[in-house]
Order: sequence, then structure tokens, then C-alpha cells
Amino acid sequence: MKFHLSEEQELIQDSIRRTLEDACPPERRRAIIATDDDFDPVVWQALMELGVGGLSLPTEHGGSGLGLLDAALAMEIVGYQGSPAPLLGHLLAGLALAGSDNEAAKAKYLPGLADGSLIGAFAVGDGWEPASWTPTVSGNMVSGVVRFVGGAARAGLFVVGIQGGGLVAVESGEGVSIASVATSDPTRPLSTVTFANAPCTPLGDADLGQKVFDAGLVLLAADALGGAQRCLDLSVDYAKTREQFGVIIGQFQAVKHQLANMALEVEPARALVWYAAYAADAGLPDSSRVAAQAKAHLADRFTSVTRAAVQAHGGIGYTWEYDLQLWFRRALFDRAYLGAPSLHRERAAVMAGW
Amino acid sequence: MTSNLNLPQPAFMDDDELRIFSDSVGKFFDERAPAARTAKWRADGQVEREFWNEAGEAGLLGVSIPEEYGGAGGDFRHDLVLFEQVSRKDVSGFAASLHNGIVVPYILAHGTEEQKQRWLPGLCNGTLISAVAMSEPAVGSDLQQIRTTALKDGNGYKVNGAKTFISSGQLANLVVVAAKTDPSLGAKGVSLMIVETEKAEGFRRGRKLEKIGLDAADTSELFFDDVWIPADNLLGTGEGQGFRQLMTELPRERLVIACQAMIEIEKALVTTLDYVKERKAFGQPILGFQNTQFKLADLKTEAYAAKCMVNHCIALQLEGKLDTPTASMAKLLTTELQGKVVDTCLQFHGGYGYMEDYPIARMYRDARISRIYGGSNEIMRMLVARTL
Repeated sequence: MKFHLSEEQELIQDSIRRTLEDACPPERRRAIIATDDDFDPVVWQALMELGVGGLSLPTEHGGSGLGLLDAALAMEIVGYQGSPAPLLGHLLAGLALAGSDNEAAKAKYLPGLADGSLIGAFAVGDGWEPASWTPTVSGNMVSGVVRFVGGAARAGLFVVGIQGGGLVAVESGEGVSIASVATSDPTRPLSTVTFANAPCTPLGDADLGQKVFDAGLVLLAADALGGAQRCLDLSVDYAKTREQFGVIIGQFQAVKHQLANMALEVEPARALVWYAAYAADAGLPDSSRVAAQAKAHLADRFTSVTRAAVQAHGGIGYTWEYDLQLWFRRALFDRAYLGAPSLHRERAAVMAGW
Repeated sequence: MTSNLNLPQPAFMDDDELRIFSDSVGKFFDERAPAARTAKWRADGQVEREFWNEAGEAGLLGVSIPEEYGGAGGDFRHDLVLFEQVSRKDVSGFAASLHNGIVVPYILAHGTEEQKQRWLPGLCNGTLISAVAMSEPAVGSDLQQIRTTALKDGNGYKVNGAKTFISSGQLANLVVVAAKTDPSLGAKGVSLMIVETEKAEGFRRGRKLEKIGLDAADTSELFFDDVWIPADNLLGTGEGQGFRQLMTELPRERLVIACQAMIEIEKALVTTLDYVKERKAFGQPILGFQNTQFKLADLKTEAYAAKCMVNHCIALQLEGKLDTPTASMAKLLTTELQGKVVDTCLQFHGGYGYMEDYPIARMYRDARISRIYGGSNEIMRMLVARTL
């Protein structure tokens, strides 16, 4: 039995990390955020050249044919770097197409999604669960208002959750209007998207909707894992440099214990994220339940660790100038988007038959 | 040192008469309950019967009972002083807080004049030791479901049923039994029946129960098999009053538990501070480590806040204004904190904390029941939640 990443997977993570360090250093991250946009051509291009857009997409349509686990590993690094990019919606749109049996739509959209020339967005309502999706389809037109859509301004293709839990594809343009909303996380701005008799292509029914929704939970959990790890690393680095009372604060037992407690929150959660992604790839019967558990648990760990990290940094952790606040905000996003931990704990309990 | 909280004594306790009483109670325990004697009680699983007589003769049992009933005419503060000394002098198992603080007040508050004349003098002088029998094997918190009955029989009642977890179950000879005089009703069918065990045919004491802690407390099962009692052993004047009688006494009972928990918290902090100042590891006293300092600083802070609340509740009780939700908050807060304090403090003792030679070990064992008895803390939360 081997419970570890393959050498290839470690290489993927390493190359994404190095690429983002080059393409999106802290000052560039600040500059992108200042534009109120999460899209930056340099960062996007760098990610797409590494094949991140097509990691889990079929090879016959330009993808690499890997699994959700590989996408989750990429997401973890993006979460660690806190790089602005409309990646979550893009990956989910790709997974929706990849899982669809609409061959025409696949052929039309997948190659662009895989190479990033077509940006995808995932549009589901703020009741989050497929059962609460509201847009309605009449003929080949979809209508409805969907709040909290990421990457909407740059998207060429929306995958929209419709009443009954199915998914349709809508090209931006005719019948689609976008209004940005003010949110906490500047690295992932959100919009309200109104579809008014927008032409659409059916992608699949409630089974596909649930599968893509679950994949979203896993990707958010992976992002939270990366973010939590970053908060821990920032805190350890800070404790090794900051001096008080004539010593490096990392020499204080209370600080050591604070950091050890943070590590205790992060490290054991890693296996849950891996397993949730693996379960989806292997089609295990508990995949939907562990996706809910992973999302709930990692969102809680990320919030808790950011809180501890702010405490470990003292006043500097509370400032705008210091980057820790970016992960604090990303934690709020990961916690709220696609449903709060309480919702997913309740779902996991129901799925377990409790 | 008895406490390191440095909390000024509240005005209502700042009284020379109370200090003198406290000293005399302390001396009484020093003389009559030395460590060798209390160790025997723990080994035996109960306090000697003779000790109750001694306490009665010394005037401790009726300290807050009016003089006309054989008491010393003091008030609730005197009982608090007594309970504190029981704890400080480690006279564990001597159920003064149950007797003085819970059962005797039922009779004083709800008994008829005739009943008070009949029982209070014996309860004050130690010839009568009291217990209250509420819990049953299948009934704990949900008291309306009790199955023990007391049904009319001639000019008396026949009591049938089984009770469990009864403190002073082996020693008590006056048992206040919660029983249904009307089994068709819930709470309204409950009456409090006084069973004088020496006159009660069909009364049987069951096992003295083996417990995690409170080694010297004779907690037992009690059985009532067609036990006939005269009609005037029904506490008060009418049937069906039992639940109300129990409820009206709840704030004081919970406050007594909160006060006991508070004393144990202070004792645990004192004994632990002594230890961490003495014990050395890695070249320094373990109080030198931030982990020790910070955790004890947290506990001291919480203990200080809890004691402020307890003092506030005592003041309310003395004014007759302590209500059930407030008393429940005090019981909940202090007993949860007690659990946290003894657990954290034991950890500082390392392996020695697990050894009976160190006081913290027994404090840890004894503490566990306080979150359960006197109304479990889940019941406390329900009562507080009803005020939201």
C-alpha cells in the first residue's frame, strides 16, 4: 500500500509553484488585485502553458486525461500562492463538459477550455446545492439570475446549474448580463449573472450536476489546504525573524506551541483532501459524502489557522500591507462558496444514514 | 495559603462572628477528622456514624436552623462556612452540604409545624441523618417519569419502588422519597414522603455503589417494598406538591454545588502552584516554562471571574432573589471550570498526578460527578436556554 503522491504529481505541484512564484510575485499580486479583476494575462498564460486548464480533460479534446486528484493538487498550489485567477470556475466548466455525453458540445468547447483560450465559469445559485438551483430552460433558452459567479467578466462560456439539478452551457453575449458585487476576497471577485432567454446547450442531468458540484467541493478543500499551509509557513518564518525581549520569538515556548497546534490542524487534513479527490476519480460509493466532509473540514481548518496566524504575527498580521490578510480573505471565500461547513456536515450526516 | 485569587471578601462574609465560627469549625475538623480517620472512611466507603453525632453535638448540623427547632439560629452564610471547611480540611464523604444545604431545608420550608417539631431537633443533633431519594434506575433527569408510588392505605401510605445513586444511602435514617401519590399524573402526581427507616418495615438498603470518586460517600441503592408510613409523613399539607417543593429549593442547591466547585478550583490551583514551584525539569522549576505560566494564568483568570459570579449569586441568595436560571448558570460555569482546572493541573504533575499520594489525583476523581449531579449540566443548559 502506498499513500503518497506519484513522482509525476509532485513534479506538477513543484512546477506550478515555481511558475507562479515567477509569474505572480507579491507585488504583481497586489497590482492585479488593484484592478478589481482576477484575470491577468501573464498569470493565466503561465498556468495554461503548464496545462493546468486541461489536466483532468480527455486527451482526445486536448486535455491530459488525468483525474480530479491532479486538478486538486494544482488547486492546492494556487491556494498556497494566493494567485488571482478565475481557475475554480474554469476547471469546473471543463469537468462539466468532460462528463457530458453531448459530443458536439465537447468537441466545440473542450479544446479551448483545455488550452485556456476559452475561459469557463461555473454558475450555480447561492442556495448552493443542486436541488436549489433555479434557472429554467425553455426550448433551447435559459433564464434566471445566478448570484456569486466567479470569473464572469472574462468568461466565454458559462456552465449553468438549472432547476432539477442539470447543467447547460451558455456562451457569453446574447441574453447574458453581468453585474459585479462587492466581496471580501479580492483575489476572486464575484458577479451576479442574469440569463434572459440566453441560448443554451444541454450538458447533462442531475447526476452530472451533482458530480461537478462535488468536484467543486473537493477543489475548494484543496485550495483551503494550500492556503492553510501558507499561513503556517508565513507564521513559522515570522517567528524565526521577529525579535522581542531580546530573543527571536520562536524561542518562546508559547509561540512554539501555537505553531505546533497550527501544524496539527493542517497536516492531518491533507489525507482527507487526497482521499476525497481519489474517491471521485475511482467512483467510490462514498465520494459524494467525503467531498462534503472535505469541504466542511478544510474550510474550518483554514479559518482557524488564519486566525491563529494573525495572532502569531501580532499587530502586523492585522495590517493591509502585510499579505497574511489575503489568505484570511481567501479563507472566508472557501468557507462560504458552495455552502458553509454546517450545510456540508448536515449533508454528510444524511448521506451516512445518521 | 487557601487561595491565590486575591479576591477581596464580599461585605456579607466580612463578619467577625463568621470568622470565629470558621475557626472553630476548622479546629473541630482538625481534632475530630484527622487524616488517619478520614483515610479510614475512604477505605470503608463511608463516614463513621459516630462522627455525625459528634458534629451534631458541636452544633454544626443545625447551624442555620432556628433555635426553637434545636438549631443554632444562623443563616445560609454559616452553612457556606461549614461547607468550605469540610472541603478545606478534606473531610470528604461527610455529607454536610446535602444534609444542611439540601434536605433539612425541605423540611424547614415545606414541613407543617408538627413535622418541624418532630424531625428538626433530631436532624440538628445528629440522631437523624437525612437523604433525598429522587433518581431511579430508569429515571435521572426526567423526574416526572418516576415509578415509585405512595398509595393511600388506611390512615397512611404504602411506598413501593427502587431508588438509586442515593447519597448517604447507608447512613441515612430519614429519607425524603419522591413518589407518585397519583401515578396517572406526571409532575403533579409527585409527593415527598418522609420514610423513617428504623420504623419502616419493607425498607431495604441495596449495594453501596462503587464509584470513580468520592470514596467516603456511601452512595447506595434503596428499595421500598410495601413500606407503610403514616399519613402525616407526607411532607406539607397536600398530595401532589412534591415537584413544586423540589423546584423551590433548586437555586440554593445549585449554588451550594457551585460554591463547592469553586473551593475545589482554588484548592487545585494552590496545590499545583506549590508543585510547579518545587518541581524542576530541564534545569528550572517548571513554573519557569511559558506553557506552565500561560495555562495557569488562564485558569487563574477564569477562576477569578467564576468566583465573582459565585459571590454575586450568594449575595442574591441572601436577599432571596436568586432564581433557578442564574443558579444554573453558576453551577454550569463552575463545575465545567472545575473539570478543566483539575485536568490541566493534573497534567502539570506528570506521573505523580496519577498517584493517589498527591492531592490532585483525588481532586481529579472527585470532580467528575459535579458536572452530573444536582441536575446534569445539560439540564442546566436547557434551563438557561429557556431564558433566551
